[in-house]
Amino acid sequence: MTVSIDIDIGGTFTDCYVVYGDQFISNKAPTTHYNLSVGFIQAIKGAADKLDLDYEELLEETEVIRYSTTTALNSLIERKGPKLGLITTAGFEDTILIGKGSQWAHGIPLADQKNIAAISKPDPLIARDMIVGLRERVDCFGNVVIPLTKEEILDKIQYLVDNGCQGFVVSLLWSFANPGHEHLVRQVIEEEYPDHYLGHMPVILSSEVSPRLGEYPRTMTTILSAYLQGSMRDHLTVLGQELRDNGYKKPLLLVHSTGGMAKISRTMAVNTCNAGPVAGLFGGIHLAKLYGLENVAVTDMGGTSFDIGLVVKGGIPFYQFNPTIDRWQVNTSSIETKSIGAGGGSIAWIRPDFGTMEVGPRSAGSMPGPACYDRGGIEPTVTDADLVLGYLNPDYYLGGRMRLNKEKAMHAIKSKLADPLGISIEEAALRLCRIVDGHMGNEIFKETALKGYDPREFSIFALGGAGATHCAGFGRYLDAQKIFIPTMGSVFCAFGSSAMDIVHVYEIYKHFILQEPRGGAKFKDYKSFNEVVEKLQEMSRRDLQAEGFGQKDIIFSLELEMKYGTQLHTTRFTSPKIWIRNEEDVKKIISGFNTAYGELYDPIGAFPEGGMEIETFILKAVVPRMPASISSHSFEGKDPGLALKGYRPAYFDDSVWFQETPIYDREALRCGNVVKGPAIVEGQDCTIVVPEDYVYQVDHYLNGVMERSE
Amino acid sequence: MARKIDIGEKWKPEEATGRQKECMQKVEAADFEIYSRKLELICAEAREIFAKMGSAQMLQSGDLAVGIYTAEGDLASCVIGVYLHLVTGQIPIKYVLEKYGNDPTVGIREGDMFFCNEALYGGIHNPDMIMFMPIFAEGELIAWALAAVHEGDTGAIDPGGMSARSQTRYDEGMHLTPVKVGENFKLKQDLIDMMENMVRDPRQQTIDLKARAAACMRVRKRLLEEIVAKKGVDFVIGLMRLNIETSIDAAKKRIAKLSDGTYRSVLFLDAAGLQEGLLRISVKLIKRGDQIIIDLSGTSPETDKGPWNAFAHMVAAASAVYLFQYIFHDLPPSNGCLVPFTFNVPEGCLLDASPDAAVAVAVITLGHTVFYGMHICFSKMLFNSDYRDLSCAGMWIPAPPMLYGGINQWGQQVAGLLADQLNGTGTGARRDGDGINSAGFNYCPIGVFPDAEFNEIQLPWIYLFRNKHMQDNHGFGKYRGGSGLMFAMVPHNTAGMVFACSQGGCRIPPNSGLFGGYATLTPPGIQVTGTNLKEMMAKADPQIPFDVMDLVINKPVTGEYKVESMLRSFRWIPEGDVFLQPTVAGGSYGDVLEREPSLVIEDVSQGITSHWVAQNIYKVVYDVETLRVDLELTMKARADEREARKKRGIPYRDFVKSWSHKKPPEEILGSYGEWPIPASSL
Repeated sequence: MTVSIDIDIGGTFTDCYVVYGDQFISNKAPTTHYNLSVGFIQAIKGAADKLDLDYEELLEETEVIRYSTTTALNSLIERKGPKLGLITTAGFEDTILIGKGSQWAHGIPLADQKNIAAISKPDPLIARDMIVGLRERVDCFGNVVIPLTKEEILDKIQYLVDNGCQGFVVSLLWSFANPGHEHLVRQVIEEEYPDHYLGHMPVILSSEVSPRLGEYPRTMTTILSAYLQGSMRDHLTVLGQELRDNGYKKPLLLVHSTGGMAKISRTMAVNTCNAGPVAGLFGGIHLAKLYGLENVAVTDMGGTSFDIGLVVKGGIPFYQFNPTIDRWQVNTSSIETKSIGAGGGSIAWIRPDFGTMEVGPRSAGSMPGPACYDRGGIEPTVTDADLVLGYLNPDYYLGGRMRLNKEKAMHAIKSKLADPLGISIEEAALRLCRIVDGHMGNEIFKETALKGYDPREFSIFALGGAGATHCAGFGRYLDAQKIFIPTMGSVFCAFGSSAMDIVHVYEIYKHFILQEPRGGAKFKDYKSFNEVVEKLQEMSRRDLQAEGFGQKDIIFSLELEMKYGTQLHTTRFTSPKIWIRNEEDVKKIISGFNTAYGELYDPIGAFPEGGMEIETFILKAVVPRMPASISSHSFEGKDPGLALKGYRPAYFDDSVWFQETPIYDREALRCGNVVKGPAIVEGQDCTIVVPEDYVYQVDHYLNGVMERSE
Repeated sequence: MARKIDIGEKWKPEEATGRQKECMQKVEAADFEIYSRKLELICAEAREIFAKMGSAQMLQSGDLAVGIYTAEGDLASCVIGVYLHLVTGQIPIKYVLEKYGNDPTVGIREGDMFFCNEALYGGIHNPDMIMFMPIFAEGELIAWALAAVHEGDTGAIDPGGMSARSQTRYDEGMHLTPVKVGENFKLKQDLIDMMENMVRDPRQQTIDLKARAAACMRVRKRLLEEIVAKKGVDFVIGLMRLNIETSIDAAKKRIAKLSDGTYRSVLFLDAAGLQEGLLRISVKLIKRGDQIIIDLSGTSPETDKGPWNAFAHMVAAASAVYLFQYIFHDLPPSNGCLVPFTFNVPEGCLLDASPDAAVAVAVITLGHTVFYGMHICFSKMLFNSDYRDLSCAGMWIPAPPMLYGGINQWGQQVAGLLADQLNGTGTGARRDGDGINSAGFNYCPIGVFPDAEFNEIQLPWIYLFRNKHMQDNHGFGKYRGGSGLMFAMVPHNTAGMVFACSQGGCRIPPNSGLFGGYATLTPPGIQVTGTNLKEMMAKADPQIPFDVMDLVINKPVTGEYKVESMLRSFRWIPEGDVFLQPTVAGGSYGDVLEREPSLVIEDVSQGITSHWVAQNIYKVVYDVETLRVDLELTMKARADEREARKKRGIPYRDFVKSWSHKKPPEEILGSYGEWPIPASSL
């Protein structure tokens, strides 16, 4: 019998998804920010209760616990990392302060980027006085230009130690092409501060964390790894002990933003950032397979943000080109998910001088929250508009766990929006909803279109507390084929990690000219190419064998980052060949790159005549895991009458005013029930708005499916 | 003499057509919010792919422009980028419409692509190369897409395309008037070959041309698929015009809220061509109600000493850069923002040059100066308004363009303009805080200061030092300017390289501080030739300098040191020698004596401010070992300085009287015009 536990810790709740044989249990517990382990354990205990098991009994039977943690990101935002020293190349000490100049624009919305008078750079994670430069130099071919001496290293590390350094980050120029100097630094530090002494300090090398071109993102990736490692290690040590003491015998697996998972001992802290949304994306893949869908936009609209990830052709299409964690550009191979400031708490306002309404990115958050929360908030928000329009039930918000104050919502919309615009409260509320829906639709458009896909070919999975209320609204802007509202939507990220494979990603920077310019000679050095691949495979075998997997369990795929001659930026694509044996293989890689480039940008931009170059090899080693199947239910008829709770007026269109609208109980709807719009379906975790031109149907998995009516 | 077309006020919106007025009625308020933003997102998407596909330094670094224009050629929307290109791009589009629209030998058809790099036809200088493409729906021309970026080389007399040596347009290389380079969505190979034949880096020319085409194609595809297909042709036409009308209305309202008055900023440049000289640019802003006149009277005349000239439309474009980035940053980015403005550019001044004049560095020398003049005038006006937060000092201008040429480590010919020294500039201080260190380029703050490794893999040099802020190069004040850098290139894996810089600024800081703040440093050009640096490097000599001060003051490297104007003609720097170039800094805001001592000490600890400046300019008294401030003594030192100022001061009338007698030496006034104020006046 399969027994697995998946945990995802969010800002408000810790979600738990348990597979116990043929039973699937979800549970939520409040996130305990003072000690995340407490919420973690509570979530499992609650699930054990639902299974009528003791907590210890469940842990003893559990084969695997997968954990999507936000510990890393939290400690980053709260600046709870250790005092680190950065050792870099002399003359480059301000690299992380310069941040490629436009560091001020990283991680902020487009509207804020346009206000040049208000830009600011984030405070650095390592203060300037904890950065030292070594007199050394390596060039772009990896040749040593200025040799590094031990005396130089000793001098600089002594300065850092004297100033309270708790760990060393080493990031030297061109270290990924020749890591010799970085290795020497580590050797000297370890000789000076051996690990059997209390004063031992970790040494993190950029050539090992992020062996890629570009000193700023490489250094930041290394810094983040070091910065986050300390806080995560403490939390995970306590948690691991707690689980072991109560019967769990296997290693705890951490979900990675690269799309896989690994034991703590094989996990870099930086790779755990954004693991929750990435896990959700894998849940999307799992569901997409069940439904036979190729392209899906997995969306999650919560209180403050709207997150998007894409499933394309049944899989993950792209890694981020330059992912940003908080305000820091890094170069990990993270799976891309995007987040914008559009949620139930997004505040609507009137733009000065031209009197049009804007929504977000400012949010009322959970404190004070929307005006209708009655906690002191006075700004009109999306949730206030939903309430005014009759979409939300003030007595049954979150299944009745929270009451809403409609008067407060009306007052906020009237005073801040309707009166200044000279329109009715309802018109203002509807306009607010249309604008936020449009922004979310635009964002999905951007995410799909920027990657060369047609947004109309995508279905939508709508998750999150506010997602079900607005999915018809934003789906309208995309002509989405279908909108799915899964029953496990409230614990979808935890559900998603249950469907993930073991994945390890390895990279090596190696420059090869695959074809000379003007149709010149093609690449001949097959041996060197294959040696790089062999080296990557060896690295992956070493790690996966340590986790108990054999050669036959592993599936390899090779991605290459390539460019045309004179280009700087590379384009990543899946190589049709892992090994090069002959010129035909070279031609296949060239052709594969031209095709991928044309699809991503435009065929008119392809320029093979300029020559073609490889820059980075990325090997993915995958050990597939069989996700648990989801229970299917039998058809119980189209009539939703038994789930009808009553009627209330709701406002969908300025020309119609309020209409008496049927209200259904989501938990009472049965497989096959069809709800025609306009209607509202109220559930424990969300409220689904079905506009007049939509039909909502409950499918075999009890998920809701919305489509435009004929 | 080259042909000069009548440009008039083509940067402003054309009169709304009846069809546009009718279509505007079909755009509901909520749809306008959503689809107006969508127009920007379409441009943002095209910008992303454009930057990733290109080769020229400015393209790779994201200093580029993508815009959507109405069928009549008016800028309807764009994404943050080089607004300069977007405003000037209207002129060749309108030219093509007027000149070739009904010409059967050319015509405007679906799938056409036009190219232009001729300043006389709307650009600023010929390295700025633009492509524009008509967008048809249901057989009707409904819009244009435009993609533009500064190219690495133009085939001019010197590598890099903006040579300070050029004295007429015939020294500047390729000038192409608007020409159809693509038909049926394909680029014409014969014209690609022609362009390649004119420049030093043909592969770069072609791949960048293709990148422009791909960006235009993406705008077209999205506009048709995402807006026309959903909302119809009329909606798109109405939406674009509504964007313009909204900008007009909002810009006027905003200007009306500011105080009427006349605001002035007079700037001086210290070079004309490769010679030292003095040029005057006078920006006078006369604000009445919701209208503003920008008067450039009192500006020096056209010069034949070098390319320190511009065509008059550049004034509007450079002004627009300021407007879009600051006072109108939150308005729909369309040419409607320019409606309240009237420009008076006196005939014959260096901002209204004759057609044969060299204008290769106009964009830097003069464009930045006009931008800066606008910035200062507006900052004064904004201070007394609800928009006070937008009042700030300016970046260092003109940004110094550094050019290079040679054979790289891969055996390929390279030539271009380096992005480092532009995109690492510090911003000006604000009303409530310091400027931002090494933040970006005033024409395109979002542009990227490239990683040193990105440059070293393409170009044959190593940086001896680069990512390190230069001490004391910013303006000092209550809030200091953002700091810049000084970087040193050592040719490596090549016989050598040629380097040049097409801008001065060593004698006169062109940008002053604001409200009592200091101006920025006037950085020099430095080189060291005939060095022993390679030997020092090979043996890890502990005297190798990793800082400009160490290099210049201690001279640990043997060789010939040359400290001169930043403005330098091309010179050969052999492998192992050193060429230094600054990225410059921002001006400051307010009195130095009002700066918090703790902020001064923080800058000292970071190496941004020297002890000398902390003690002698900011008058902070502290222990140089522990950096502990003695507040009491600091207060006293500042009080003493205020008393000393009073003693040094003289009545304004007396100052004017004594100052008016002064005159620079005649030899530097050759291009200045009539002293003290050049003759052109309103």
